[in-house]
Amino acid sequence: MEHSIFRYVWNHSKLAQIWLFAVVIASMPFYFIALELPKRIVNDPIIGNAFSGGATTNYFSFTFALPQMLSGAVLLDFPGFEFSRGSLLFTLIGILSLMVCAEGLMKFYLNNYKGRLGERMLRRLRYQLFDRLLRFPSQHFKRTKASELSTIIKDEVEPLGGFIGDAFVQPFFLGSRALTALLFIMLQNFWLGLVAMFIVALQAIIIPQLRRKLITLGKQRQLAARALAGQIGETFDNISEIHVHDTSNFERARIVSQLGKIFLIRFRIYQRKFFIKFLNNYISQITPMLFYGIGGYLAITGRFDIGQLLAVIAAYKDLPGPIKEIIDWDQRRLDVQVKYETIIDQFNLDNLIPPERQTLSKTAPDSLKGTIEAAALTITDEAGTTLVEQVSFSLQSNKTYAFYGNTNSGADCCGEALICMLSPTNGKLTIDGNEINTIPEAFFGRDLIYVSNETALIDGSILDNIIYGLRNRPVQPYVPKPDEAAAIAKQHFEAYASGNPNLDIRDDWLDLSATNSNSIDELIEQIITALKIVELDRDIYRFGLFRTLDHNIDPIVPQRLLEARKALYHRLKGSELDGLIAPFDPDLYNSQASISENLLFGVATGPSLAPQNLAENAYFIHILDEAELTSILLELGQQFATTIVELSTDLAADHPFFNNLVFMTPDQISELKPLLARYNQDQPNPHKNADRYALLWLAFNYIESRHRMELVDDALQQQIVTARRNFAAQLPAELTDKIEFYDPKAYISNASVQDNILFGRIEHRIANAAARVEVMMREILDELSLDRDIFSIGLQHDVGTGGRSLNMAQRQKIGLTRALIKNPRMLIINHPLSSTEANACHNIMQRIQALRAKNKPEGGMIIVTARETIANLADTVLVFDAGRLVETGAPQHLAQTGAAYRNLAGLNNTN
Amino acid sequence: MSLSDEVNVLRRIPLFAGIEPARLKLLAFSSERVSFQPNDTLCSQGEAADDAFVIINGEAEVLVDIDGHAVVVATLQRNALVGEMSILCDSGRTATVRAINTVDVLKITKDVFVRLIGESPAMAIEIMRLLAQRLQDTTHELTRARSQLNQLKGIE
Repeated sequence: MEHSIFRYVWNHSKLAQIWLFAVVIASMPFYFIALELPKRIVNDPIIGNAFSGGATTNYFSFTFALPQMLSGAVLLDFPGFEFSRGSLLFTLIGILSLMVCAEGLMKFYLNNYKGRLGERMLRRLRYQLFDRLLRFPSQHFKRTKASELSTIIKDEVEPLGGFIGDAFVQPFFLGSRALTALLFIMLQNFWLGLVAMFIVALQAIIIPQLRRKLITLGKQRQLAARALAGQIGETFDNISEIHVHDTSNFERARIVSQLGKIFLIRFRIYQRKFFIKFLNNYISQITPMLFYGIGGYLAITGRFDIGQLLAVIAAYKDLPGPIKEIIDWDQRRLDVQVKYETIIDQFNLDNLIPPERQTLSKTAPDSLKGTIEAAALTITDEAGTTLVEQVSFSLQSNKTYAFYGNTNSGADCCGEALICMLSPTNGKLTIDGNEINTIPEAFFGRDLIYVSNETALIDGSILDNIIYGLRNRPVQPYVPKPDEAAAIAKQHFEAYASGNPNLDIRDDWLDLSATNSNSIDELIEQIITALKIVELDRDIYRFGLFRTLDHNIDPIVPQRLLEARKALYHRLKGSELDGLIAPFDPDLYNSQASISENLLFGVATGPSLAPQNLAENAYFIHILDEAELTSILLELGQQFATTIVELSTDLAADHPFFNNLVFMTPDQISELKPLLARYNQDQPNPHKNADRYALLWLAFNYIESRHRMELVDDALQQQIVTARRNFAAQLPAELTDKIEFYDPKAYISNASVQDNILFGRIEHRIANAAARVEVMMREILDELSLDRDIFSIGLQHDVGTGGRSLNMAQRQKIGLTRALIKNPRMLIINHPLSSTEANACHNIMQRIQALRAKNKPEGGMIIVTARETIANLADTVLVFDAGRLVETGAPQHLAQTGAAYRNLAGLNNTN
Repeated sequence: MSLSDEVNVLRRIPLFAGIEPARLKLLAFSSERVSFQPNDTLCSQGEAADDAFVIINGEAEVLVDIDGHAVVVATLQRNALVGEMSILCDSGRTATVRAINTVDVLKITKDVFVRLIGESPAMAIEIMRLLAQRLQDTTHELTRARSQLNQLKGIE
């Protein structure tokens, strides 16, 4: 990239800059006329110079004659128009206002044009930086902080955009304005013009001198701000370490020191800036005094008329403006140049991946044919440590290999070198005879898939993550709807004008050609198969059950789930398990549910009817009052509170007793004792209302089957069911969308799939109830062929930022599934499922081998591992030790004769 | 059956006899009520032991696996406490307990039980007494078995 921002801007916007010049030049005459007219207005109509005593005069007369040498013939003799003093005055003022307006409109156009130009350049620059980021060699990321790069692309380039539009045209525009004004002054009076020029030159020389130091400070400021962003990002990444090791105060100290540095730099910048401003202002203010002095003296002595003097002063008034702005522009130029250089330093690497290797190919790349060969491969890291030394091997693409070795044995590094994550320092690494560094990335993305054990997940659902690997190229362009075609065409043009490639996110980027499927449905089928193989299916199934359906789901799904609900109850009835679920029956009290759940009999969809706010909801309390429940529930709350206080006195905070009171915080529990004492007094109590809320809320959370205090008898149950009906019947309009009532025949769209199927509470008093219900539910879903839908719903589960809502084993399994559905010729797995227990991992790998044998019989695998059982799955084991390849052979053979193999596998110890 | 009924059941169990009513109420509240169908197993021999059971209703039989055959060694009635010893020594269940008819139990988790011992010296002593008693019984049986064995050897 260009080292100077001017070169960069010029290279990418020559034509636009030239057009800007043209517009600026075209606006100059208007400006000159706007300067000239006030003088004429004063001199001609007001003082009457043009009238020489008469009442009217001919104005705007001019003659156009050929030069004397060409006969001097008069071609045009315009006599002008006849004006009285009054009409001339208003005509001139009218022209002046027209000129001012025309000049303003041109300025408006210019500013718009410059703004767009700047934004386009900003977009181009940002894109180019991001493009470079994608082309950084892998090793570079090991010493770069993500947050620093993001602050560069996001914040640091921002001021550049504002400047780019002004880069050339602003000094030109302001300079020409200043020159016009200077010229005007000179035409009026040569000496005054000279004075003005002298002062301008003074400013133009002194001020930039003073600003030198600002450049260095600006650079420091930028680096310091970047370091700050880096530190914040690091804190974010290491937050658990910070808590675990109690280093939060050390982190505070670091940030304090960083902020101190930034403060000092910024303060120095301010000091200098304001001093320069002061000097600049002083010089500008001195000048008018000279003008008044000299010009006034000339006017008094009659060598200069007053109209001229006023016009000169007006022109001069305009002069400091452009000058000041030029100086400001120069200031910004410095600033931006510093910023630009600091940015470019970070992105101008010598060893960027050449763009050809990432070129988008519209078709699938060539596939892997034969062999992967290493000849005396040596890899050293930046510190000069040898990672791999003189390794030679030849791998056939239809066999399974294991790179067997401990960490630092070189096995991992060889695996990484195969997909260019490490580059050979010496020796050769070729695929089908081609040097690995020259092979397009598309080839790797298709036929040589690498599965890292640190699976990185994107924000989105599990499905998004699994199919992420299929997003190699747009396979189907987006077909715009008639009403958006124009807008899309405009977007494409803008992208083109900013030098962005014409890649459209709206296109269909899902390339199924690598998979064995022809449609999304088939793909989902394959994903489910793969998930079963890596044993993630149960988790996904459970995610599906616990998930609330998306609004855009096919309406057939909730209908089918209702069938499952029906089937479940049908099966429970008559079986010995009848009573396993206490259903939501509109006419019955559900003793597995809390009192408030029984009253609401539905799912709150907003905060107004949420459990924690119920005691303060006016309508809800109104219903309780009407049913004469308020005092009963207050009484109940009191009894509940009394028992809790009685039992919890002197208990440790982690006593299992509190498990039954999960709805309360320890603070709330310790609040109960004073509350009861207050509540039972007859004296006025300032907390009366709050206490009533608290007791009611406590009563609302009482669950008869769990708390077993016999506080809810049959009569109360009946009363609550009646209140439930009234609550629904009289529900005011503003609350209708705040609750979804339980209806045995309707799907509850705000509840999870499982809650919808069960439509009731599991009777925990029956031994193993939850497990039994789950088994039965699965059976029914299988019978109704709904299991696939549950999987699909589960695949929508959000993985959280960076996959944080999943555990490591789940993330690794998703990474593996992502690779399996691509069905590559060669699958490289680095420490497969290192977070899964060895036995399970072995079984999974065996099943993966079987799947590959079926789907890709001509394919092979490379498994980097330190587990003997996994290595034994390979046809050939390559044993690594201390960066060298020490043994190669079939696992059975090595187990007999391979010293290094036996050592690694611990076979020597047992003998 | 409510909390207070459960407390009454607990009070009739010798091990809990010396414990003040408030503690027993806490014990009941912190425990879970579970019911088992006939033939359901409450716990299986060899399994890790996490809970003790107090039988509130119904009957259960205790089975021990001898040479692959399950042999009934005892029948438990209402108010019986079972499984408390295994949770003390982390040893896994020494026997299988199976419901004969519908059995309601109060499931006392290990955590609750151990805390209770810590808080109540009377109960700790009662447990020691019980253990000593069982050891004594076992010793008696061992002595008898040995003498019988010697006699048999003498006959040969």
